[in-house]
Formats: sequence, C-alpha cells, structure tokens
Amino acid sequence: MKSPDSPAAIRAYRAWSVRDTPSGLRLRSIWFPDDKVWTPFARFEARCNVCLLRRFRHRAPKDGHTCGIYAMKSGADLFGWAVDNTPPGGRPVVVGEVWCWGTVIEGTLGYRAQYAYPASLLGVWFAPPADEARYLAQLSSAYGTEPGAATGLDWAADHGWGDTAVGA
Amino acid sequence: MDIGETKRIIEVEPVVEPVPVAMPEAEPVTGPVPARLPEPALPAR
Repeated sequence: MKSPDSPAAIRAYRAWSVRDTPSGLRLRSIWFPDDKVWTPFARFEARCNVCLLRRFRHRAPKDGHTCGIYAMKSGADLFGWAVDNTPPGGRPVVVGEVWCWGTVIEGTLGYRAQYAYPASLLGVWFAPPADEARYLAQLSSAYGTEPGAATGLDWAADHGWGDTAVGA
Repeated sequence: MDIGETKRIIEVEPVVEPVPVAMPEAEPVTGPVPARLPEPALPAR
C-alpha cells in the first residue's frame, strides 16, 4: 500500500459564490451556478461534471482533465484571476482560505483537489460594505470556520474592490 | 482558475480531516415541574 506524500492538508486561497437557502447563506461554485452548495461540517468532494454528462464516472481530479476543487497558492494570484474571470452581474464573491486534501494535482500557481473545506473566510467582493460583515458572520458561523483576518485582503485593497456593487 | 502547469500529483492524507465538528444544539434547560399548590379553602360563611 502506497504511503501518502503528505500527512497535512494544504492551505490555499479560493473564491466562492453565495446562495441564499432556507437554511441560510451557503457557499457554492462561481462557475457552476447549478452546482450543489458546500454542506457545512462535511468535506466537499470534487466530481468531473464533463464525464458525468457522458455517463462515465471517475475520481476527480484527473490528470489531463479540468476537474477538481480549485485553489490558488497566493491571494494575489486569486485576485488576479478574479479580476479577469468573475462573471459580471453584481453577485457577491466570498474569498478565503481553503483546506485541500485527497488526490491533489499541484500546478505552478495552485491546486486541483479531491476534497476541500473552508478554513477561513477573509472578505467579500462585489457586495455593499454593509453586506460584507453580515455575509462573513453568517457564513463563518454556518461553516464553523476561523474568524477571518482583517489583513487577509491586503492584496486586494489597492484595487478598489470590496465596495463595488457591479450592476447593483 | 488557472493553476498553471502541472508539477506533480500527490496524495494528501491528513491524520484528522480539517472539517470542524458541529456543536450540538443546546438543549433547553428545564427543571422539575413544580407541583401545583392546592387552592386555598374558602372560609366557611
């Protein structure tokens, strides 16, 4: 039996979208709006949506595919990606740190992981300032995460994000 | 997200998964139900 390459989960940076459910606010994927929400107090497991459509199931992530739970090694790289890729429309984007484990494909800038869980929620982009504190408080309570560090968004502060309600 | 060029594939198996344990909902604090005192007898007229 092969021994693991690492006995410690990887801590990286990630952005989520938010869904308002009857149970409260929940995290979900930015790019798969119909995807399921991240269940509090349970690990989130990756799946390959493309292969599921082809009625073929395999463990995600898989080399050569694009599946897996994405996370970046640095907050600055996450911000750079978000500036160019976050869908418009004014929907809030929650940023934070995430634990990654299981099978993990490491890239030069980030990871694609099999399992993940939020470690701490650091800030909210594309939300009015009044909503930011409410979102962070409700989501941190829902997921039992560590309180977000106020300095966690230093890498985004100079770009004028945080109070930008696009299209709102 | 663009994670760049693939460097390696690793197996990460933490001894304890980093998922917090939900705190059980607090039970409402209840005590013994006090016995109802008998109604005071009406004075005889």
